[in-house]
Amino acid sequence: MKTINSRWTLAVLVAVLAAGGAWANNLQITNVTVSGRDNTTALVEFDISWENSWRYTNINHDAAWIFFKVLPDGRSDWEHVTLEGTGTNPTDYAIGAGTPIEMIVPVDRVGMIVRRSGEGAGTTAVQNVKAVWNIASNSLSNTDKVKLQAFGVEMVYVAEGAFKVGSGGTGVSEIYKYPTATEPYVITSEDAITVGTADGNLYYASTAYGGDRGGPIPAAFPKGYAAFYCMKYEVTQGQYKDFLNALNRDQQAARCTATTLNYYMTVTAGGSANIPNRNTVRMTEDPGSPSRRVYTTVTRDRACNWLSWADDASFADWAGLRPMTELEYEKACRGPMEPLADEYAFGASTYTVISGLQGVDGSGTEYYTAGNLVVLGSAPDGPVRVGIFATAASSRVSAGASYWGIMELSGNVWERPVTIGHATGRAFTGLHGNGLLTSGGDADVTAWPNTTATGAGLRGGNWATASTSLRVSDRGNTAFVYAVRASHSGWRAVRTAP
Amino acid sequence: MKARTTIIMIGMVLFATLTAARAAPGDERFCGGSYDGWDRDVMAASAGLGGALVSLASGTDQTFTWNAANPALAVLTIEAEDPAGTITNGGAMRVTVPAAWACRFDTSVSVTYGGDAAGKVGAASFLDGGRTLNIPVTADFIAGDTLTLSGLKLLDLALCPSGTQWLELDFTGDGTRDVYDGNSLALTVPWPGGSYDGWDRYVLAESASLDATRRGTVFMLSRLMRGSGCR
Repeated sequence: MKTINSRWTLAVLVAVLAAGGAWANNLQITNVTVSGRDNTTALVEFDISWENSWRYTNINHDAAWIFFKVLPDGRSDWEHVTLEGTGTNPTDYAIGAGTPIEMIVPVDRVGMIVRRSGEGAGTTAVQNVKAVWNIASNSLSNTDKVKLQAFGVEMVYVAEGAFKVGSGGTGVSEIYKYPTATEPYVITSEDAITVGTADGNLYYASTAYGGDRGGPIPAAFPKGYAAFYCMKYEVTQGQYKDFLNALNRDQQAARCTATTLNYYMTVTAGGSANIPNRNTVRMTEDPGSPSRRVYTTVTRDRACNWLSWADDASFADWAGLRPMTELEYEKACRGPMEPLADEYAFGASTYTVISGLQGVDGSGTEYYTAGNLVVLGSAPDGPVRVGIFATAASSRVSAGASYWGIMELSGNVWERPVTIGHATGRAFTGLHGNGLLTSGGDADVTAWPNTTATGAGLRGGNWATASTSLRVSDRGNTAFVYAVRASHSGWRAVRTAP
Repeated sequence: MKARTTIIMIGMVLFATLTAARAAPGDERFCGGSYDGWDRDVMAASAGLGGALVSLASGTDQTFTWNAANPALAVLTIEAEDPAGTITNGGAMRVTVPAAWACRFDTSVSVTYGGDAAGKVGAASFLDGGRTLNIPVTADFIAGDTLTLSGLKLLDLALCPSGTQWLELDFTGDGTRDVYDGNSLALTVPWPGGSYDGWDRYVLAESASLDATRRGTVFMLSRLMRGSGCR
């Protein structure tokens, strides 16, 4: 009997390892501590690991964007942490023990990039990583006490270089090089781009939501030529839940409709009593004003829907990121590859519908036996787990991945890039969020499209739209002013490479 | 312009060809699976930004006169709210009289311990001619440990200038002050003295020109000092 039990235990263990270990990306930040350094700074220490990381010198690498929030004793709101020092491995930063990494702190010091320091692939696991926090920026001294949160987002590096926009296919208002509607336009720098009808200009057909064909596209507008980091996945429900729980009560009310106990986030004021389109983020504890509400989810790895443009922008500002532009969107999908007419983000013009769900839906380990696109007619009535098509041995096409390794840029939930098809969008300069929101919970970064969503648009389709809208170069909704929360509206953010 | 574009496109094709060649089976860009690219961790309890939160408190501000013989000090409390491994077996803590005062502890007294850390320290002794109380540590302090010190007295206050000062605590044992007493020691000098202070001034009744060369005027400024000041 004892032998049988041991065998069962071993079998279960093997199954767990096979299902969870080998396939996971599983970014983990643990053992966060803070200790003194001097009168104006403190050391923040943590362990970090994630699987399937890589650094291919001739292609790109992945990374984690790390930022911190602090709750000083005696204060009620979580505050953003400003780091000390800039550049690669600044003074007193420690790369810890384990996989060799490097830490890059950008000049705005709102967070840092952690990535492999050398060529290689596999699991990155490091203990006792140390960053330096400028405590004076939070009006704290070394006699104060605090609690600290560390947040990590998996990012993918999109390298600097020329690329093409438009596929030469049948997509709505695809960009092309005037006058040949089937010739993609080549972006070779971050210089201003003329939009018009002179030979060689960037141009596109006039459609309802394809944009105003106005220009020029200023030099300050991020065009994708310069390198940037893109979130590997769409914002998940776990991610959004953690975001909500770090806001104050007023900000929470602006960023989530679920203000009724045990109701789920949706578009309806107060929330929904039932799970709306597979979003399980709900308010499960309300200690009463002025204390913040508590949100939970049981599907932390599922893409988050029911997000408005204002929700998206607020999340990006809070996390020290920014919206991507629609030109960056095409670069994130296609990379430097020659466009394929009517291609999807995984570099093919055909796709396989999903089927054969395995495992417990929402558990974080579920997968489909077939399929690489979450699209109308094949999906459940809402988004699925992010990265659901990637396996231990998947290819770009089977993983539904972009050239760079970014997941689900076609399908699942909408992407919301800044458009070139509206003057407000063209005024976007690519400033990053500083981690601070308004008291009302909105983003307040200069030249970002405001809460009306004018200047933003939709790309990449979603689980509830026809497959044509999921194509990389389809611009049928690229200038659609769409401020509302919807069952298919999600998002991801980027950050210009330091 | 056309040539530049051609070169760029050749570069793009070369780059794509090279990188496509790298996209061999097992390319981690396209691998992955369960769980997302997101995590967070939060500290379970607050921690001090100084690395350790240890305080020294007399409990009340105290005032002494300069000619007091050997006044008693209020009970001192050392609270290790978060010692962060700084007060450990084999180390020592030191309480010191204010650096700006030339007084000392009365070394004839016996110091009595109290608090839940009373058993974690050995017998106290005096160093530096009585200016420092040395407390040997015999067991590691943990968060929340408290040690009280009773029986301390001061000597030689007559050597000190008047004013307000603070006792000092070195809890890391490195010989340098880590924290001050949260309460103050004040010294007053109620010595009788005469009226007026040790200062006077004289002012010219009227403005005078500084153009001495042209007018040939020589003038002097004088100041009278009077009175005997107190210390």
